[in-house]
Amino acid sequence: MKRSTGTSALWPRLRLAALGAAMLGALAFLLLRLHDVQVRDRDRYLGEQSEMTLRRVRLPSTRGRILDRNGAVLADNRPRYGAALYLDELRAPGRWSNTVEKVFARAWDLSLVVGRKPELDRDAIWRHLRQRRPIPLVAYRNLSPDELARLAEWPEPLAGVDIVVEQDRVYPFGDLACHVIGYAGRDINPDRAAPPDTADADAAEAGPDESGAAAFDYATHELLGRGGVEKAFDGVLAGRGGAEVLRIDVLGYKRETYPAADPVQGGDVVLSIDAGLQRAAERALGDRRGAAIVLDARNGQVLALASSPRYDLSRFVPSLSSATWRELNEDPERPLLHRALSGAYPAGSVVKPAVALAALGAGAIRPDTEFVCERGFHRNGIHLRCSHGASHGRIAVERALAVSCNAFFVECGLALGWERGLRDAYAALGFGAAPALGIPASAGILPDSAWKKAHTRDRVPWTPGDTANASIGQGMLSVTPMQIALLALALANDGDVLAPHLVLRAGDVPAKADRQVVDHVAWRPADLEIVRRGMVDAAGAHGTARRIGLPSLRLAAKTGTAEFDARDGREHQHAWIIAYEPWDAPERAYAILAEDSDAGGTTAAYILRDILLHIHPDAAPDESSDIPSPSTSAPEEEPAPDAKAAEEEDPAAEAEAAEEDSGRIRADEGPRDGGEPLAGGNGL
Amino acid sequence: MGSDRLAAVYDDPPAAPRPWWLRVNWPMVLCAAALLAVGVLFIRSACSVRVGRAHELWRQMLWPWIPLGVAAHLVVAAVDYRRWTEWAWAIYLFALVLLVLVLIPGIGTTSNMGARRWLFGRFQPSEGAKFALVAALAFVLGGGMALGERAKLWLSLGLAAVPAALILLEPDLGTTLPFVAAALAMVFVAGCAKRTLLALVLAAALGASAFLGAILLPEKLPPERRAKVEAVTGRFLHRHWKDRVLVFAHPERDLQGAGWNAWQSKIAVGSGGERGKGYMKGTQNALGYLPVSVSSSDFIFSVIAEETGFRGSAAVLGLFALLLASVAWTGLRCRDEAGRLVCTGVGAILFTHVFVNVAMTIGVMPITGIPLPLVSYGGTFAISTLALLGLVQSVSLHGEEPAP
Repeated sequence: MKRSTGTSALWPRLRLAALGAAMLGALAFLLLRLHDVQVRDRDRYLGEQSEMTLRRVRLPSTRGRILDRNGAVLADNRPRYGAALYLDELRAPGRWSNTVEKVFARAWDLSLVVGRKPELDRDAIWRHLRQRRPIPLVAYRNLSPDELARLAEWPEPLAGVDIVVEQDRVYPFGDLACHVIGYAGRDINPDRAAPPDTADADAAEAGPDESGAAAFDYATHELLGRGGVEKAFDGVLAGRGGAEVLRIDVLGYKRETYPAADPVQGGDVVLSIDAGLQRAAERALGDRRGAAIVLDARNGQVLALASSPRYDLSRFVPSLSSATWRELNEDPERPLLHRALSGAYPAGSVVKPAVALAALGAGAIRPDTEFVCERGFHRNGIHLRCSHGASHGRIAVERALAVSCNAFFVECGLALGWERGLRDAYAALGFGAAPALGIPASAGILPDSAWKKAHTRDRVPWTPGDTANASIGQGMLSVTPMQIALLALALANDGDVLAPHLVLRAGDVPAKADRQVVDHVAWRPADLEIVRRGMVDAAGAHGTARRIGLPSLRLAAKTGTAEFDARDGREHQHAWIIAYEPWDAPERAYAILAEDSDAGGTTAAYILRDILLHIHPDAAPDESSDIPSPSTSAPEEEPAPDAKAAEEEDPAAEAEAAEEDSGRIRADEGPRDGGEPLAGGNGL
Repeated sequence: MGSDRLAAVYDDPPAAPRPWWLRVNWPMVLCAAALLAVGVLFIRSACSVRVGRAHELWRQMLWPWIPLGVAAHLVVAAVDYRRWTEWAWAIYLFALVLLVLVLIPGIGTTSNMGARRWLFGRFQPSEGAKFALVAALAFVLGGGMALGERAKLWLSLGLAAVPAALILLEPDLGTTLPFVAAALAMVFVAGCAKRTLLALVLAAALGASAFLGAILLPEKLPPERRAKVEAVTGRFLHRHWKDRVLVFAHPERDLQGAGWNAWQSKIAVGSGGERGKGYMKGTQNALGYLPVSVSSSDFIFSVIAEETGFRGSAAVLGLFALLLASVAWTGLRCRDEAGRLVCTGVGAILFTHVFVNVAMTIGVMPITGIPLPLVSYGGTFAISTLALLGLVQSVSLHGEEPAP
């Protein structure tokens, strides 16, 4: 140590100073590194931290209501109370099983308070603890008012238990317009993210998530529209779900909650339906299978859209059980089928005014053109008889409409031809195209040669026989009640084909529900006058629709009886009626279908009568009138408005017809609807 | 050791001593007081989420640990440091006895890592050994014994090696670092042949690389040979040493297990950003990601960095820099070798603690369980640090006086 004991001990001091400087330098290095971590890389570590500690949870929004045109609530919400266990308040130190036992014990405490057996078992608690630890575990989903009161008024509140509220859908009118409203079911929200897969409860947290784009960490069950307006306007009704962010601790329990986004309540959807009229239409249908449609003739708004049979929407709340679903789906009456929009039927005689107008408009016939009806039409291998074997002799258009002479309209159809003739006339009226109502509707079938080849066994092309059938609304032609209602609407509007409207307002946006002319059928006013006279006569005291029996109403109507062969091999009939009133300035157009019933002049007429009486309560004539009641109606009195091919009468003719393939397609051949598996009014 | 001999070391004839309050190393006192205050504040924050008595850990610092430490500081400072170096043998031997005692099952208390570190439940003899080592080396290297340079060197290294070896047996690898650092620094400042110094640095580097190599190299071997090699190295290497080094070398490998603390500490420090999240608002600690068992002691710096951000953590580092500078300043002003060496040893120990501790919280060094002086929670550690600073204070107070 001699060197260091010099007079100034310079070297030791220098070495000490050097050492001190080195230490300070090392600390400066740490400072730089600290700057890197805290300032440069801050965002990275903050990101890692939020990934590790933050969980996004979706807050359901309140679903919008569905209202009728007068503000009656068709679909509403109602709070449903449940009880939930908050695991972060029930955590027990030590093994996870301690917590499970504690939660299980608290579930039993809760069950004693509520007075119902616990619905949770240990497995459910384990599962929740593994997968959804930060969010409450729902012990009871639906507490009755009594149970809720017992829980709320329990003298010492149960720690870790709280009441939770969920919104349930409620349909105050039960089965009213059930097919239109559709229903909303509770399901996993589609825009949720996959739950973090904490397969091991001991893994304290989820760790870096590969997906990254995860919007929500936990699946939530929310109301999703499943049918009808509930489904079609789900985007409006659903609103926007909110979010809250939970901060979880190292064990995965919720520590803090931050609101992130408030849920936005869904908008109301206002339908053009009039609930009172809808109810009247449904009552008028009674328990018959069928459909009744009332349109506002001035603007195309749907005032009633009834389909029968119906089902009670309250059976869909809070959720549709599979047993109920099976029962409804397998019911031979097929209540789930929205017959008014999706049932496809032979049109029958109700198309005859359109055939006559098309033939007149195209110059194929003139108002005074006469055809001969000898018990029907029998020419060129086509045999179509008029109903009940009636023989109308020489007949012109006006009388042909009044007596619904098949032979006359077959002549019209053959004169027009099918493609670029009658088919185009039908297409202009909307046959073969689904009406744009916003909710699903069938297109029916407007066949052509290609369709026939594709859908028949023999793959034969279109024949005049097919045209003959189509001319009287039979054969392969298949329509929905809504299409027939639109035909009535076009007749009421002198050939203006109006777009139907079902929705007046969706959310804050008023829907386009004013008069929209989508097409115009070239019907000449003079011809229309003839047809209108025929339809007014039909509703008159001696017409086919006389059973409506409301002479004060200035009604124009046309009945129809569409025949089809059911599987039992016997002939059946669908009863149709179309109408509009008042005929000089139409306000409403009607279409009624009664499936598998008697002639249009009876059953359908009585249904229309009931509906009209709802709209015009003062129109009822005195009871002294000779209108027969529905129960005493006698089909054989019907003035034979409808047609059927004649083969059955004459075996030889039948054989001949078969050989020549006269083109009469039996109604049960081939699919009768636009692809809708439930649809099809025949063959039941 | 005659007083004449020590007096000969003085450069100048002793001047009349200044009044004591001018001789006190006030910057050091202020830095230490500030760091103690920071420590108490953030121990409180770190323990705010704990329950029971642990919630009030910061109160234990206020009473009795800091008062006891201040008392130790005053006592140590009041006595001339040359007296302490003269009594160094006794102190040293006493410390060794305690270090041996702590190894005996039933007397030493086992920590959660499996190391025997505590006597009587809470006293860590390794802390006392630091004081003893500084005093003993200052005595030996300062010329307290008539020895040749070579003998002084080997004796010094031996004096450092014995307690370090005993601590290694606990086993507590981290705590041996200040001992090694103090011995090397004191030997360096005392002066030795360049070749010897080079050899020492090389030996230290070789030892460190052998340690790291024994852990990291088998990783690269094919599995069956690796198993054989690890069977051999496993006799010397504790599992958590290996874990810590491996985690340091491959931070991404075992985040959920051995790498957890290092990862969470880095997240805490990094997420603090420049301004921090606010006092008592650090979430890493509050939510338990930074284990509460270490957040108030070994990882207190992470809590500070998260809650006060870069500004706060830089300020704390600055306080430590000032503290070290004030210690070095006393050493530089001191007129005798022993005083200079005392300051060197104390400075080296403090520096090692600060550097290793801060470096591990930001992933610059592997996790070693050594606390942050004056800031971390720890009774014995607070007392020992204040006592070591007392030695420096003694140099500052008595360096101008003639030797007793």
